[in-house]
Amino acid sequence: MKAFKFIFSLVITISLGYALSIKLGSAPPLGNFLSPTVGFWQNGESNETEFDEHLDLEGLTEQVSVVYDESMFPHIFAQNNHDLYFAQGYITAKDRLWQMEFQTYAAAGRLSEILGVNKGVQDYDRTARRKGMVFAAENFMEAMQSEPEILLAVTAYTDGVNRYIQSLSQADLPFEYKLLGYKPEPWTNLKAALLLKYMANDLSFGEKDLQNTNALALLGRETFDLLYPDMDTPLDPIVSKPGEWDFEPIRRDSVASPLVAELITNKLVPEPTIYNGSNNWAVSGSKTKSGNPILCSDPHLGLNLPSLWYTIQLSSPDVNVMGASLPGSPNVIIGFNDSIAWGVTNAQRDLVDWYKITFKDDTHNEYKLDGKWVTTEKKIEEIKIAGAEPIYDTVLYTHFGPVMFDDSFHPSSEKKYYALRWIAHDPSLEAFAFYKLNRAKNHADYMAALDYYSAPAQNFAFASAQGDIAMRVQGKYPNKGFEEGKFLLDGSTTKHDWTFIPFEQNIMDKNPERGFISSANQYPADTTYPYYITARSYESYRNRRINNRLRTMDSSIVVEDLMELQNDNYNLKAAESLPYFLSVVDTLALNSNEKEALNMLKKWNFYNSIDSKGASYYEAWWDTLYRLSWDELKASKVALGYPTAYNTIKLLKDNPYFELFDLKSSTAKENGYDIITKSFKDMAVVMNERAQDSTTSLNWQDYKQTYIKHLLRLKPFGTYNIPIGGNHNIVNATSENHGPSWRMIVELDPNGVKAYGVYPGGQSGNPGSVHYDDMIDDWAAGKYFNLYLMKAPDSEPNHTQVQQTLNPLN
Amino acid sequence: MAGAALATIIVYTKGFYSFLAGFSGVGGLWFFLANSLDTANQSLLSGKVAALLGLESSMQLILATALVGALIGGFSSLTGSLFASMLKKEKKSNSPYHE
Repeated sequence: MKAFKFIFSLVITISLGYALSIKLGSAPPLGNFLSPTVGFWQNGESNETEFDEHLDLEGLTEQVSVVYDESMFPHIFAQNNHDLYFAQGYITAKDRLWQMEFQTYAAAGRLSEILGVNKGVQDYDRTARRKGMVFAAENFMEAMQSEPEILLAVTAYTDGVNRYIQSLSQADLPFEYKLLGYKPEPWTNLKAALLLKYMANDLSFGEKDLQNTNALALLGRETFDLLYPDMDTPLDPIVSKPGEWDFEPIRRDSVASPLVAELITNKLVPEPTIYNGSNNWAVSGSKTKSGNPILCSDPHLGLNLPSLWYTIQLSSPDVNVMGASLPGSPNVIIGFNDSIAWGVTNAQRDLVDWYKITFKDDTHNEYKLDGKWVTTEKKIEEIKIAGAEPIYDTVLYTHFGPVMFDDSFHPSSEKKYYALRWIAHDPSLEAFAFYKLNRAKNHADYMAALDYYSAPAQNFAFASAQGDIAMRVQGKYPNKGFEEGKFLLDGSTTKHDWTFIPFEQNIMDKNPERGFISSANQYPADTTYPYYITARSYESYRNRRINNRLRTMDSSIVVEDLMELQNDNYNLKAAESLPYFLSVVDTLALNSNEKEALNMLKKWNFYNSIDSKGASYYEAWWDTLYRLSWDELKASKVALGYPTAYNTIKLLKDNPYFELFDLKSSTAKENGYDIITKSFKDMAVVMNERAQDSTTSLNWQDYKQTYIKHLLRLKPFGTYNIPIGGNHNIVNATSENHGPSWRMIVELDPNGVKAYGVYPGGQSGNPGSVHYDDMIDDWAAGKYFNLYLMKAPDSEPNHTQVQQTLNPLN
Repeated sequence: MAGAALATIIVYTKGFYSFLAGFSGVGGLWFFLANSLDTANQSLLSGKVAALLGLESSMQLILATALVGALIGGFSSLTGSLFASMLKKEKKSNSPYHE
């Protein structure tokens, strides 16, 4: 009997222990997770959290000092570059390890290893493999072997991250590891490359070649050209130097082969949002009160927690730079030193092409190229899945790149195969470009650094303490014939292989007469630039607002004026469209809801500030009108692209009888005037319902509901209904979940650089720390933190919160 | 059903008291530790985790933590005491004064 009791109890104990140590469904392993000694309770930081003032780190060669200022920005002082990047890796991992790992797992198509069985996750991972993300990262690694300085930096960074990982006990693990029940794996150089390709995906994968092919086939040439012009007119390009492009352009020899006219019926893969873009500008001393140039940069990306950027200062005998870094990769990416400052915006261009592949037979072992059968390279991708057997995906590689769509992945009913050529596949040295930019002292150094930069193409704004300002639209750009690559290409020939525009023939400018340079993702050059340019879309509002403001600002600009401009909520799109829309609406035949809407819109001053009701009415109207305008594009069974807001408004104004304005859902034939009126009436109904809803208001803040979520989409770990104005196509480009992920302003005073920065998040990736999201309020309010470029660890005692010494272990 | 069987086995026996000792011992310890860490953190993290797990407050989470610890402690303790008493019986099985 006693033995029976004992065994019974033992079985229960073991079962309980087992049940508490495994994941039941999506719940964490409760025993470990809830344990106060090793579980999540340990991640809660307190004011008395011990900060080791002296750390012994194996791998360092000499002593390193780390100073944390009042904003918890680390300032690293090392005596050689190996230690500097080792420390950058260690310190960054200390704050952001989980995020770094998660993002690089995503880039490598390994989320299934963490998140388990889920159709969406497996599809995501297969997409990443078929995009060639790891292929791209491996090519990057190979290129790095030829440049010892950057190889050393990346390797030291990797060692620093690993030093941190090795120091972690179960109790020390970052929160998300405990929640999901896994542990970090060793960091590698490949992961730094993957992180950069993760960014390259967001910035350079956007295109619509296949959608264009469908649109041309379905709608005809004339309609196609009206919907998707290559450029918006009138232009306010990044660089305008008509007739001054003093070089002999390289002619493209290829004869344009007939367009591959067919419908692509495959389900395409998700595109990065078209709003991934940014603002940057620099004003020369001739326009500033102090006579010093001032540079501003604010990249616009998806907003998540932990934040994408991590503020840091890096100092060693040959560099002293500060700014925003990307956890997972060494260097400062957007920043400044005592002599120069730089910022980046996305330089849109079509950097993805699709090639139609003809296989010999169903084995897919060979494909046709220039009249011969060439062997396909088959790569078997293993996708491990947490809690399940791995799946295997065979990816077919051709001369152009991987075949993304085939019989096993987003197939079409016809057997058609499309291979992907993407700029990110090419070996590149962007990490070395940033390394050199961190050390640049003048315009010549900036130009030399950017000669190493090929992808993803960015508009690099520049200012120096010597008084220069400059812009360089820099990337490895394919030299294309007219409309070449805008549609699906014939993959049976090498005629459409990419050749490149020499870097010295890229679009650039230095010290223009107007006294400022700027970019906001608009069309890059005036029409006399001799190379063919096309892209998924260009911006046409933020650029004009920025340039209008900078043109009218007189020569007494101070930093505060530019802070105001970065936070400018003026809705140029509304200013240019609303009066026209209102003129179309028959004001004599309105019901009371419609009269109310009309009234609110007439009173509006075109600013999307948080308490504006007019902004909400306009947005509701515009969204409805845009949807009605392009209802047949949405209803299409094959993928089609959408026209830009700018072009939509242009068509409504100039082409009201455009055939696509007719609504599919009604038998009557509508035109532009009709849908403007119908959308107005529909909007008035919706807004009236909203007005009755006591849980919300019509204020723009409540309408837009800007939020920032944790990377895992855990609701309690995000911040919601943030009081910030702005929107797409507005300089303050903050929309629901997207916007200025970093804001930086630098005044290049030769007597001491002054810099300011902020981002919507916090330096710590730990949700148990007050520094997880402590900058969001200030960011929303348009405030900035000082970025102290310290000369030495003891330079700023008033701004030093904690000082830490990292000692080599001998 | 297993619970009822369990109840008849352990109620009013020595085993019950050892279960209780482990239950309250580890449960109390986990309550104290979790609560101290939570106070020092000003419930910043526990508020979020409670919401994530569908609980209404940090205190509920602390109690849940204590309960898990208590169950682990209780059953481990019970198992241990039953093991010990199982061995003891074999040594003194010839005495008429024991069960």
